[in-house]
Amino acid sequence: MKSSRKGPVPLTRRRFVTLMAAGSAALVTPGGAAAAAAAVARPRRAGAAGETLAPSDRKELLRQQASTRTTLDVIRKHAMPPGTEMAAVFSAMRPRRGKA
Amino acid sequence: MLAEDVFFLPVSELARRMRERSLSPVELTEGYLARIEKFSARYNAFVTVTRDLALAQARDAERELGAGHVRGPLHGVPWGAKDLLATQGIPTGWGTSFLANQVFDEDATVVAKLHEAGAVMLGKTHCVEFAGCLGYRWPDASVAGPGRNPWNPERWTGGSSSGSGAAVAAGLCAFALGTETWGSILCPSAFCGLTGLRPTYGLVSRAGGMVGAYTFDKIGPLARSASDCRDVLDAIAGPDPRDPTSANEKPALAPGQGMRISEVRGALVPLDWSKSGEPEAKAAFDEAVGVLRAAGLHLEEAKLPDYPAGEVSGTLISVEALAAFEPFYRDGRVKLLKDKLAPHQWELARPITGADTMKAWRMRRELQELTAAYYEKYDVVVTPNFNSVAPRVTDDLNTSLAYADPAGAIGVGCGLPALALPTGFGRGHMPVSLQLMGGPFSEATLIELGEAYQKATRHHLEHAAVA
Repeated sequence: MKSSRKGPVPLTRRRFVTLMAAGSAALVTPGGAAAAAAAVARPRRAGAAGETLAPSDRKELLRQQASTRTTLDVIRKHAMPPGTEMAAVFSAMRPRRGKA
Repeated sequence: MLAEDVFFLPVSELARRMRERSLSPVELTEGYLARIEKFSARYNAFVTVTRDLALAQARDAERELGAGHVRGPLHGVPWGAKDLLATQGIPTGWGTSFLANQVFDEDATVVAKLHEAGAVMLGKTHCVEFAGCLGYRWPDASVAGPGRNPWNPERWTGGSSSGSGAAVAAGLCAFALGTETWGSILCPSAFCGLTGLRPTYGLVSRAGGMVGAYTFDKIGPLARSASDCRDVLDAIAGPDPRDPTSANEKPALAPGQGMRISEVRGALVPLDWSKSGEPEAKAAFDEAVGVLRAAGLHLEEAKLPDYPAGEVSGTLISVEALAAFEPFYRDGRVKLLKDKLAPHQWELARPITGADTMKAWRMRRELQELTAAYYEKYDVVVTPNFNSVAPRVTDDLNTSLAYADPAGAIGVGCGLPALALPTGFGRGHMPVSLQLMGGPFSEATLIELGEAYQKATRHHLEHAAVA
């Protein structure tokens, strides 16, 4: 199988620990990307998550929001055939007969 | 009184001397305990010292070895456990202040296995809070503050197995266990000049270990040589009914079980050092590649699979970590973490939908397929561990380590093993390192490649001046 992407987005060693950061305005809807972009322009919205933070930390929070949007954009735009298998495997569990 | 150099000897040499009774396990343990008392706080190495347990285990080892009963290559060898591995009756704080008194009633499987192997547990080593799985931007995100590097205490040890790296590098134990979700064994190995092994996902049971990210966590050794890593891995690897994700197989690790070096097909990942990294690190890496080639390794330039592995691994780690630490968001204790943004991660992750997560799982399978095809052509990937030396303990990690980690993204996404090998020194006489990354369960080959490299070099034998 081949990725439809031209190439991977460079990911720094530190960026992975910030990938969970994202703004509530970036909720996925058909217009998710636009909503995410709008969130950056609405600092009060971001402040809801970071209102107790020092300015430098709020800046970092916004950076993490942007990083997550970029990541999600890559994942959502990645083309895959319907029904592609997952890396995780589910299996039915047998009853544990004879065990307490 | 033992000479200082004894505390920096590899496991194999310590074990040999103890078997031959020229070195007493009790005297060695007392020596390490004295060094811990003297130096541990300087480097934020140990959070808990298990003096009584260590001396009891050392006395047992002395008695058994004296009677000719050798349990194995770790018998009588003192070690340290990362403080997110459960230890019966001994606090396990997961790097935080608010869990400092957390005590489990059962040992983690790896701890139990090392007890069974006759190793002597000196204590628990500091680590980054929650192993960094909720993110951290500064090296001081640990209950003790930053791990301080024995090569220069103003430099970071790397994380998240910071105390494990510091303890081994400072000669406070012969080896330590670390854990890795993404980089937490390889990073402190690189920055502290150690040989570290990230095992194949599932090869080592995680039972009793803190869950950082369910399908990414691994447990492995930080030690002084590839041979030491073999001895430790052999003791802790194998199936475990307590861990349903543990693999059914345990590959043979004894010397000679790996591929012959002349048959190994190596991929040298092309790197653009002009964009990131330090020239001193590049020079050391180039020299190391020359050594590997001279040892008989066939290397050709080959790009890694072209795939957004970082996005896949990063997203899945994020959601798994949030699920793992959900209770601390619910009770508010996440606010007690040092990282200022950790309390906000739950809300900030809301845009990651269930569909995104499932897509990432499907992409992870695609990544596995691509990577498996890659490893049909190559047996091992050779690439720098880090392109620079350890940052200062006050540095912002976003900027000080702002370069890509494509091998790491693929490696952790696919659960691949990797061996970190010291390659000398870079700026400020700080250690630099390369990594050998193999296919699943190829540890024997990686270790033998590492042994061939370390037979031709002496970088792994150098140690920091600790006095």
